[in-house]
This record gives sequence, structure tokens and C-alpha cells, in this order.
Amino acid sequence: MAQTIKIDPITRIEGHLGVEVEIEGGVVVNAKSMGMMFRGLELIMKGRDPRDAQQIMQRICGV
Amino acid sequence: MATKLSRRDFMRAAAGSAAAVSLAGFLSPYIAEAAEAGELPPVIWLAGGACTGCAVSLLNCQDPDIQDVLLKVISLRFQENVMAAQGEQAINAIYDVVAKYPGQYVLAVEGSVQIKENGKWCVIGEREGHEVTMLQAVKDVGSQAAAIINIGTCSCFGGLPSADPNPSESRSVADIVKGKPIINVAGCPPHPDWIVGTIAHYLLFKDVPELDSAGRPKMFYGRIIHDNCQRRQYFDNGIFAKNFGEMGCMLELGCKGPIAHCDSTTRLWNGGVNWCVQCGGVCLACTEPQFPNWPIYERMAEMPIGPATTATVDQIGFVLGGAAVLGIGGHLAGNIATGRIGSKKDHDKEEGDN
Repeated sequence: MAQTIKIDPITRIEGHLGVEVEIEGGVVVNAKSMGMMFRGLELIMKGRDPRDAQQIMQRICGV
Repeated sequence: MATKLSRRDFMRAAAGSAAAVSLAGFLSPYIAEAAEAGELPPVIWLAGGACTGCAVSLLNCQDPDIQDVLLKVISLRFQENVMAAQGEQAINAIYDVVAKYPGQYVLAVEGSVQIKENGKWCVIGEREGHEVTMLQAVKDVGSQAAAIINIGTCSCFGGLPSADPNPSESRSVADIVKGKPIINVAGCPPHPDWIVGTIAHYLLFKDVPELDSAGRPKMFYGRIIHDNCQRRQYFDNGIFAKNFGEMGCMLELGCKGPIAHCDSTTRLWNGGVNWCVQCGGVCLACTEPQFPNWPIYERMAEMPIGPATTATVDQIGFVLGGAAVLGIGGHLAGNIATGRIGSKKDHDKEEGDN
């Protein structure tokens, strides 16, 4: 009988992460991780001056 | 001694403290006294469409040690990046504060609120088998808060995620929660002094500091970068850099200093080491509501000042109502007239020839 453990949010990291783990007989049989936030910075870059990329894309992650 | 700090003293200290004087260090005894008296409200820090850069900027707070701020000075009940609890336990910590201290806690928000598909573009966790979206959390927590402090341009104005075409339909917190005192600590990221200073002001006086028209505390955002820029003399003498690394005012390279409100020029960053223009970069005007909806590395002769509007520097000066900016406009026009700065078209042509 599989048991599912879901941890969302995972803390002490940057961003919004969730993890779902299936355990059967003390063994992990399946695991998923989920990034729960999307801003679409690539879409914002479309049509912009290529030089802007260094300022826009560095803000994907501030850590 | 600590209790004698008046609001006027606070403002003076905040606005005047430069690199040599640590604002946070100056304030720490006052805050510590308030903490000992048990007068500090709980703080919930929510992150939405954020990069955590604002949290990291706050962690760069050097005096007092950020550890002391987080553990002794404020009662921080939820902050994803530093808290030990995770999963449902963490989300419950938010709702416990809302239930126990309605109308008494402070909400700090980092990052925009994404409303697309009812907030599904940003899920901050799960509770009782259901997703908790940032949109829902800001509504739930914000509606019961004593005050909301927006940390960073994203939560203040929408910021980077809301740049055209705004794929996630990002909004500022003020668009979501109405009727609450909201303080905008703008910046991408904001200086740790601006964050700690604003929070300290609220904790000590239980009131919002004096704000400008964009909701930013005047003590930190009352000045324009261009007015105190180390390269200002170049501008006044009509010396303009054509490439990075050259001497001269960087207006032609895209510097947005003339419309940027903040005190980076005197406060300096990383513990008083340097700031954007002094290290050879252009000012991005990251504290402004329109950031970054403009070409970052192009001259700001025509800047967007609202949806689908463009204006010359003179008109921006008029809109801002600042005599200093009007001065810049006049000066700039003078420079163009005397040929010291080429027209925008000529500039593009020059660039093409290189």
C-alpha cells in the first residue's frame, strides 16, 4: 500500500517548490517536484533590445 | 534615552545617514527597547512573483547583525527562505497569526501578485489538501493586517513580472488589497536601510512615515539620483560618455538618473562601498513605478510616463513638478541646441557606423 507524502512549500530555498513522494514498504517508488511559480521573463524579453537581457534575466533569481 | 526619539529626529537620522553612519545601528537601541517592552507586532513575510533578491538585500543588513533583527527585534512568523517549518506546518503559521492577532500584525510582501487563472501562476503552498495561491494569501492576510509594507518594486508597482506583455498578469499589492495603510519600499532590490528603516519607523511610532505620491517614504526617496550624482559635473559641462568605461555623464548610454527617486548616491551599497553609477553602470530607475518598461540602454529623451504616452525630458520635469528636473530639461535642451548632444536620430546613426 503506497503512502504519499506531500511537502509544499519546501522552505529555506529560493522560490516556490513542492515535493510529492510515494513510499511503498519503506522504499520510495515515485517522486515529483513542482516549481509553483511562473513569471514568463522570456516572454517579456521578446522584442526588446538584446542588451536589456542582462538586466531582465538576472532578476530570475536574486540569491 | 531610547524612548525620547521623536519622529522628527527619526526622519532627520534616516534622511541624513550616509555611508559612514549606519541607520540600522543608530536605531537598534530604540527598537531593542520596544522589543523588550513586548510592543512589537508579529510580521508575516509573503513572497509571490519574486526573485528573493529583496530578502537577500535585507540579509545584507550589517549593523545590527541581521540575525539580531530577525530573532530579537521583530517577531517574524513566516518567511519561507529562513524558517525551519515547511509544508502545511509553514502555511498554518500564517493563518495562526491571522486568527490570533487580527488587525495587529504587519504584512511584508515581496514580489508581485499574479492573478492569471485565479492566481494559479503562483502557488505558495498547500493547506488541508488545497493549494494556497499568492492571490488568496494576500487577500486573506492583507485584509486583517495593521499595515502592509511592500518590499521591492514588484509588490509596490508590479515591477519586472508586470513588464509588457505581463504574461502572468502581475499586479501590485495595492491593486489587490484596498483600504489598508500601504508603504512602498521600492527598489530592485531596495537598500537594507530603506527596509529596516521603514519597518523600524512603523514599529516605533505605530504609524506610516510621510509618503510621496508613489507611496514611498520621503525620508529615503525624497531625492533624485541625478541631483547628487558623482558624474553630475560632467552633465553640467556637457561631457557625455559614448561608451561604457569612458568619462562623462551616462545619459546617452541610457542612464535614468534624472527621473529616479532614492538616496543611493549618498547611502551607498554593500555596507557603504559603492553604488550603481559609481561602479560604471547606468541608473535603471528601479525605484520608479514604470520600471522596467523602457529600453534600458537607450537615452531617455523620450520616456514613457504612462500607458501609451511618451514625453520629452522637459515634459517629464513638468509632470514631476520638481524644479531640479525642470532644470535638467532646460539644460538638456540647451545641450541639444548647442550640438553638444546630438539628436536621437543622429545618435542612432553614429552607433550604426561604429
